[in-house]
Amino acid sequence: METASFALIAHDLKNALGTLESELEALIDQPDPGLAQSAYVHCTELRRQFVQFLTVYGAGDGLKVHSEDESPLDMLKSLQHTAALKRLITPGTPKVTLTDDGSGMPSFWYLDRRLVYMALEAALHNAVRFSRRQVVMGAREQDGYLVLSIDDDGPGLGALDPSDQSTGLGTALCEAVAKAHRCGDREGRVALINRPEGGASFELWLP
Amino acid sequence: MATQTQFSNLQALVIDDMSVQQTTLRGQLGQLGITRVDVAANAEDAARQIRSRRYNLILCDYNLNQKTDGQQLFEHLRDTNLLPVDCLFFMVTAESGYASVAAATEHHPDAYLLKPITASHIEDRLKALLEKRDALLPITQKLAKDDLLGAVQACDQLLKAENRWTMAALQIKGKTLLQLGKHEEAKQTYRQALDKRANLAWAQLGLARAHKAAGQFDEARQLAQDIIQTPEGEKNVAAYDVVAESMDAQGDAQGAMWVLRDAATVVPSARRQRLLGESAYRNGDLDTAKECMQKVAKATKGSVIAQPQDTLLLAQAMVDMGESAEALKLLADGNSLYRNLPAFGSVALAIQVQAQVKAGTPDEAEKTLKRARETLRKGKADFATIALAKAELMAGHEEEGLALLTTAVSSDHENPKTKQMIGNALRETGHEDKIDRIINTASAAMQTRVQDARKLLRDSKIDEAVAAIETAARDYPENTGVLLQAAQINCMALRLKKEHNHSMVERVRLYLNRLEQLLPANDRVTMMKRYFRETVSSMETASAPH
Repeated sequence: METASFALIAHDLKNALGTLESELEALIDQPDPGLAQSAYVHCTELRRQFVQFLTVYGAGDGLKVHSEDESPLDMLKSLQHTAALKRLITPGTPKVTLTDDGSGMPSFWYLDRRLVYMALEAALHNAVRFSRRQVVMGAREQDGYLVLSIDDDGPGLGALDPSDQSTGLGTALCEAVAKAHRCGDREGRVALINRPEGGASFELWLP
Repeated sequence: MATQTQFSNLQALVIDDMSVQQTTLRGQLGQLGITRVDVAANAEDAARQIRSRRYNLILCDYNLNQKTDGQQLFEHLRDTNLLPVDCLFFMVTAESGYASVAAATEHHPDAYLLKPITASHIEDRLKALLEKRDALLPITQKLAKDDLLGAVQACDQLLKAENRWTMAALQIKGKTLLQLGKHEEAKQTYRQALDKRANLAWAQLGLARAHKAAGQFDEARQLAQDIIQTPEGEKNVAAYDVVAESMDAQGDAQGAMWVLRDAATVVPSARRQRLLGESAYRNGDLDTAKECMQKVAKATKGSVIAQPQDTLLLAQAMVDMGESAEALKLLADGNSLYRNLPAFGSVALAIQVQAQVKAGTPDEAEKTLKRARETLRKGKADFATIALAKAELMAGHEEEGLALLTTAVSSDHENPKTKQMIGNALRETGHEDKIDRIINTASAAMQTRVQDARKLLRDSKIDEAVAAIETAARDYPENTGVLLQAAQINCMALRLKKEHNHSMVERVRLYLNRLEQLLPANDRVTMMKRYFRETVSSMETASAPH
């Protein structure tokens, strides 16, 4: 990875820490559960980014995948649950739903749950930021791949980040997780497309 | 305030040396409604607590900053059967160390939790694993009752549903079929799994094991080698074991040792070094044996996972290499450590005699030998008997030494590993010329007893045949060749007489249990169990009212 990208990430992490610092400072003078809650959310967010960073760049010899048979539906439900909890704390964020309530998804797939979950979390985080009303997650089998998708109804690809928190870290993570999943000579990939009905679609293809 | 949740009935143990982390984990379990939480600060305390209380969930930090790390503790608990089958074991590791920890391990815990841990992490894994347990319960209940056929049926039932648990069901089905001695069906099951997911390590390994069980050793080796040659499989020590076991079965003990050496290189655990050390010792490679056992000693020093046999083997290798002073010191240390273990003391005495002879103190050796003789019970086909025999031979008591070795051969006359060690003992003590006589004569004598019994059966003297093999089994209760024959002849007698003889059935069961102890997961024992099951069921069919 280039030094410039590292500097960019470090810069963003520093800014996020700054936000957290000022929230904590305010809390000293005026203890307030609402503010504490927000500081907590920011802290969690920051930690998540550090974990992502370490996952992508911390392993000396690339990401190691430990695949087990996992239920895509369970994984998406768990993500949805976490998103719903966040929505309680920060109202007004878009709703996260599943396609067809999960029917038609493959009942299991071999994947590293921890890594895939982390990648989807990053992608979902991104989609929620751009989305207007709702984000739809899905899983399907196509050409021998498991395709995990996250669709938003935002302005589509190439739009300026409304909240200006993008570091490119999430994308790097998704790419790394996809690539690390292999089966025979096939390997995973990430696809980003504009949906014909508007909005962007993120797809994680796993062999 | 604790809330009642689906986890509230779980009894948990937290193993961590940092009190802050202990409190955090306890608090997080509390958030999930798990309030019955014990805490252990090190591996020794943990092992003690696990022995005295039945836990459903164990959270163990990988870095215990003690003599034993979390993975060593986990493997020790598994090896010594201290971990109840339904106990979930979660390993807590640092983000950075996880990949290396998970890759270089032989047995995986139920889950790895990566720091920093939150209550929802624990909840997530716990929920998934409990759900899996519930789904597999119909199978595991049969397995718990040792009803292997019932378990296979339960697997088929679950497979019909084609749901999330298909692969788990296939995995258990394959393993159970192997235990049943049905290797062709096992192969089919593993191929079915590979159709669903190519290159699946456990299915490839199962397929290799099924070939080995069927006596197709070349194919078994090739399949296992294929796993080792993939990037994901290079640390799959179970695959190395299949290769080594196949080579052993083909009579290539030396080659098997080299494979074990490779396995100990990719996964340098104490357990792997121990296996290699034992194999190297049998193959007369004393340098390797010593090196490995020293590594084991270093890795397990002062830990619960240290084993008395490690010290004995190292001391014996040192004596063989002429390092008497070092060996004596090692034995003295061992004596203070294992003073409550009479088994250690008696073998230590035998090795001490050898060291004293080599050190040029024959009078002391003679005194020690007297004590060593007093402590050894009946001679067996084991390390202890061979050590005492060597002591006798080195001290000039040829007759006693040779008699002990003869007993050792007779006690398990088909055991190639014992014979290898007995040959070495004779060679080292200047009795190379007697190798053939001692080993072949003693095993031929046992062979004759077995054949005589079989001949009686062929001549339709069923009762005499049974009586003959029973006597042999009584004389040498741990002779695996005799026990296998005793099981078979009793089964044949049951079939020939077509009557349900309860005590005979119980006797075979007893032999098979003993064989399972002496030769765990052995293919011949598995086949004999299958023959026994078929015998019993054929009798039941015959005696059923028409």
